[in-house]
Amino acid sequence: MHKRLKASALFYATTVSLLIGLVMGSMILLTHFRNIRSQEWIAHERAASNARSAAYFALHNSDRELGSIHVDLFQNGSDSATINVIPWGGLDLIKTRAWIADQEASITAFGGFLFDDQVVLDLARKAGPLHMCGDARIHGDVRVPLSDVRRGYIEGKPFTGEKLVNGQLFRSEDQNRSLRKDLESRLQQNCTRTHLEGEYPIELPEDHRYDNLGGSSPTLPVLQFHGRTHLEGYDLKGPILIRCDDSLSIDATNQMEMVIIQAPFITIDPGTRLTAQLFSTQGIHLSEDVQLLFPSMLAVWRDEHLAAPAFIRVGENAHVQGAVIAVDRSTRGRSQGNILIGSGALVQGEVYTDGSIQHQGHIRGTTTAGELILRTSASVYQGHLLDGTIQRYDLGSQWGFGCMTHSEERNILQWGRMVHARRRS
Amino acid sequence: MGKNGSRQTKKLKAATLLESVIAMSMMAAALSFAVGLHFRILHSDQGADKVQAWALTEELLAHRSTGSWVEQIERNEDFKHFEIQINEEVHSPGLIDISIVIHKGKALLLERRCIIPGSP
Repeated sequence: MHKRLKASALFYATTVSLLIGLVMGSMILLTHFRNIRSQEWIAHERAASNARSAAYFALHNSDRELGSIHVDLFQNGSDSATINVIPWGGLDLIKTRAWIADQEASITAFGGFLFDDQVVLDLARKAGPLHMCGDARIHGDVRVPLSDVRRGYIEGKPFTGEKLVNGQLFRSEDQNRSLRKDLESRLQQNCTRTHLEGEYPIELPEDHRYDNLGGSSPTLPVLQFHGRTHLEGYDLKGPILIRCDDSLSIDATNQMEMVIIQAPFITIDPGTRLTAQLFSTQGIHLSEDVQLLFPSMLAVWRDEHLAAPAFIRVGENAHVQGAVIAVDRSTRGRSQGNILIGSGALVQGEVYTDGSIQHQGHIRGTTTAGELILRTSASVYQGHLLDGTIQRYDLGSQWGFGCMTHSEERNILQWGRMVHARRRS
Repeated sequence: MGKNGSRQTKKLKAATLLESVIAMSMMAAALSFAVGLHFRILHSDQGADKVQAWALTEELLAHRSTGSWVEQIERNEDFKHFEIQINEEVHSPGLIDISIVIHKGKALLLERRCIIPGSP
């Protein structure tokens, strides 16, 4: 007959010790895994931080025009990134990719310039005296011919203010300030629809959606249209380029962010809301209540072979945050007005034309023009400002397209989406 | 069970006094090992500290632009457990290279460098 094994104190002590050992071993393993997890998280965050640092680094990279380059951010051999800077309208499109251990992060950003709004109105020397009429107001320093600002009377509207200019008066310089050189060449290139390096045509799915906000590819997607085109129902997140060889119109059913639109003539229908840079050779018309959010740009470059002037019309109560630029170096059509800012319209940023502006809205930023005009049903008045207001920029620091700037100071105007991935070996 | 069916408890039998001593020593050793290892793990585990240190660098960088990051260091209770060294250098016009090193005791927890807009 077998005898049962009798449990003794030693047996119980051994069993309990083994149990304690198991529990302790589990705690060590859990702590080890938690350490691994926190190391992974820190590598993930460090990669994202390096991607952003690389974007700032790219702002001042002198070789930025040479395509994708590899940089050691802090010269320590452990924080590497690739940078790709592409001219994007009036801005720089910066694409960066950074990696730490097996974590990778990429981001796109749009780099811009600081502009100076100390002088809110700068007219050419040949413009003649400035007449303030109706509810016109200027808050900031002004540079006008012979420092001559007068009270005016137009269409039965005398000047209603107390002080002609709430700021200092300076004399116009012999030479009117000119656009930043590289911006000028970009404007011409985009307005004349010159093909950019790295373009590739795309076709959209039936839902007309395209999202490239996290795109780290160095190429530029292009949507090409032919003939008179009306866009409706598009949902586009750039960077993406829309090009049309004839008139293009966009209505309020579209949602577009960080797009470039190139067409001979562009019309934005009432109520539309976009973030876009628009380039044209014949004209841009913003209808009422259109909103172009920061950083947006309207730019026309008049084709010298055309008799008709190129113009930008900002409709009533429209809102533009960015820059409005009309380049017209011809001698024809100066009295037509290159930029027309309607009643109630608001432009926050920079306005530049070497022709004339008819301004009856609000400009908060800096305005540089050949002259101010007022066109009525009866006549055209040169050197008159009726009901328009001009004052300093009121959206924080003056970051934008830096049309006139010669400063080296730069900043990121808008960030795209951060995309994380695991590096493949 | 006893002869009349009632429950009876029996003493744990040890064959010898030596067996008793060995058993109790084994239990004491196991428990001491457990307690010692527990506290050692707690002290040597830097994972949570590193994550907290990273979060603190994010706070510092966020407050740097407002110019109040020195006050932030002095006011925040979490900063008192760490020694923080900050170094700034001009990287290019309008950009600075910031280095933040965080120690806890003698251990180096985190060293973070980044490039941000601003001036020293």
